[in-house]
Amino acid sequence: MGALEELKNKLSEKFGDKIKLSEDKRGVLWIECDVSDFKEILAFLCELGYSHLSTITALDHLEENKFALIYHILSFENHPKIPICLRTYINRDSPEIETVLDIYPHALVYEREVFDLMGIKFKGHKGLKRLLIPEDAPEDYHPLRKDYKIEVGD
Amino acid sequence: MTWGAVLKDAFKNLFKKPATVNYPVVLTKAPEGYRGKIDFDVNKCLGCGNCARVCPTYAITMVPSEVTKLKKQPQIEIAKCVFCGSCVDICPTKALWFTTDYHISGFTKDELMV
Amino acid sequence: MSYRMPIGPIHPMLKEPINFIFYLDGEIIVDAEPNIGYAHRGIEKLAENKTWFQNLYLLEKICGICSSAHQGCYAQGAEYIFDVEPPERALHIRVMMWELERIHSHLLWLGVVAHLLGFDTLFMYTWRDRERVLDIVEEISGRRVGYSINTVGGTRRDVDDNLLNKAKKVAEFILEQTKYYEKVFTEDKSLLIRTQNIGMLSKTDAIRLGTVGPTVRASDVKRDIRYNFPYAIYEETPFEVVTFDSCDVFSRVVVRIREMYVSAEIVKWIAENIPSGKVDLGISPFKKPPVNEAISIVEAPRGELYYYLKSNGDLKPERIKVRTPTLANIISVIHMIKGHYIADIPPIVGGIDPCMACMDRVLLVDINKEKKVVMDKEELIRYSIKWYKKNKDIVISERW
Repeated sequence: MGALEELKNKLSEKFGDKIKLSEDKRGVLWIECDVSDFKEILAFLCELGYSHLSTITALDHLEENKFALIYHILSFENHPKIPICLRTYINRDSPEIETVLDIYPHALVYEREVFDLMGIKFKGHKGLKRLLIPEDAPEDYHPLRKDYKIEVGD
Repeated sequence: MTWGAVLKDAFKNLFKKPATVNYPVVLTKAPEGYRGKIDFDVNKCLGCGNCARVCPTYAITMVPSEVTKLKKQPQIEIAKCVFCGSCVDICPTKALWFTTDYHISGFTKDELMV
Repeated sequence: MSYRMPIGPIHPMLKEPINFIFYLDGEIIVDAEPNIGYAHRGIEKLAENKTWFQNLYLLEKICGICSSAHQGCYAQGAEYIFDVEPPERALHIRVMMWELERIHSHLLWLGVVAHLLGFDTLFMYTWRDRERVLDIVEEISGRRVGYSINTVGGTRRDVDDNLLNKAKKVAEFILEQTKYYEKVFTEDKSLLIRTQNIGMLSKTDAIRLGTVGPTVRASDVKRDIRYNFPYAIYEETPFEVVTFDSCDVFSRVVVRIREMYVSAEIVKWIAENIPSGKVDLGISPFKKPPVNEAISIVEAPRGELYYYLKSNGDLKPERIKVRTPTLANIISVIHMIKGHYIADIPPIVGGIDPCMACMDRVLLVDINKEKKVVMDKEELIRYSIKWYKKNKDIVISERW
């Protein structure tokens, strides 16, 4: 596990208290941080070699009144075999966060999908419109949220 | 780089028999283990209801019955079935099984009830 | 004089139907805009209402050709959450089905590309050889498409020695036929004119735009999930990464043909070296998992397939997120297509292997004259073939 320990040490040295690190049995590194620091951490990881953003996941925590956003990044050239997942929390009443298009140009489609299905706005994204749901749907129609119930079964 | 690299084989294939089967006249037989239409033996059924709980598309409903121990038996709607086999795997007395029948279409809903 | 041409969505073949709007200047494409969402079925929301075992049969229906990749990736992630290890024999059977699926998917794609370029004979030959692979898959699992061979904790069916011998014969047949297809696709001049020096995607652009799968390996980048993040038993099999460096549509054809050799060798190796033992751990479908979250990454025939799963201790999952490989490759299509003629749209868009759902209706709008001409998919292909026949000499002198 030499590569994982080295990576954790580098991150703790640079960011100290601002992040919480944990790992799971398969060698995946989970980082938790605040919404004001996450872009700095992503830029640092992109320099280290994590140049591929796989996707952005949004989770809805209805009882705690917040959204969680997870950024899944992979590195193919350096630090092999350690996928990283970076998690931040934002407020559920006015969900807004900065875009990562300047670090990862391919985040165009993933941010549109999160806006479409969960209603989170990305500041600085040019052309933020719906991706999957037809464009004449009502403004506040975000079906993947937990308060939108569907009926299943007979 | 040439023009017409397949010409030789295309010419040879003119004199061989076709690779397709003339379907409605010649019927191909499905292999053993094919997941076709489901069949059911009510004498082996206990009425436990596990098959209805496991079905992913809710195609099985339990209806009242005189023959089984717990007084219920399953009714399967083949139109909703996806032929996954969860009901066949979980039945404790092997009362449900797959046949190799793949001609499953009908004009009325009653033809598609087992 | 500039035109705006939408290319419409519906094609009942596999993954996502895609709608593009192309901005034209004469015959040359200046910009493009994708519009997707025509096959959106709300599967992520529906998966939160079914149990962990019922989702196996829902998620394999996301794609018809990569169905085993989706189900295997989900089963792998659910095994991480339930904290169990499947038996060795089950992993060998799972990998064999994954590689057989990759062979038949690449043969299907070769036939479709040949059809788009007007070479229907090769379309018929590749699909005739694909039937041998579908027959062996039907005998192992019970169905030709949608095999449902994975479960949480292993596989549902076992294979006996008879079936393993048949699988080995099919792998040897595929090795023979692939040599023939490599010769035809790299020597026939009518195919070379339409695929060389078209759709260029340089190495830095491919990394910057997040491309995955054979499209990025055709730009000389060594990225493959089976090599960088090995899973199941890939570290023990004779697996090699295939790359090629000419960065155009021809390079993508060569990469996929060579991947068929590698897959057939893996199937042969498994048929000879499979260990004995159980194939299923026998977990009950009514068991509740612990509170956990996990990711699962698999190399589907089209690229990197990424699943994120979260459980909160209940019988139904809290969140399942699926990122399919075609979504990651759409951005590179927009970049690649600028500066080409309309007649180059079929091989470029088909070259990323989008399950050929992109093009069914073409609507040509002449803004100045307010005249509309509608073409469907067959007519667009015929138009592009005729255009190439007429302008062959101009094209050859321009590009070579």
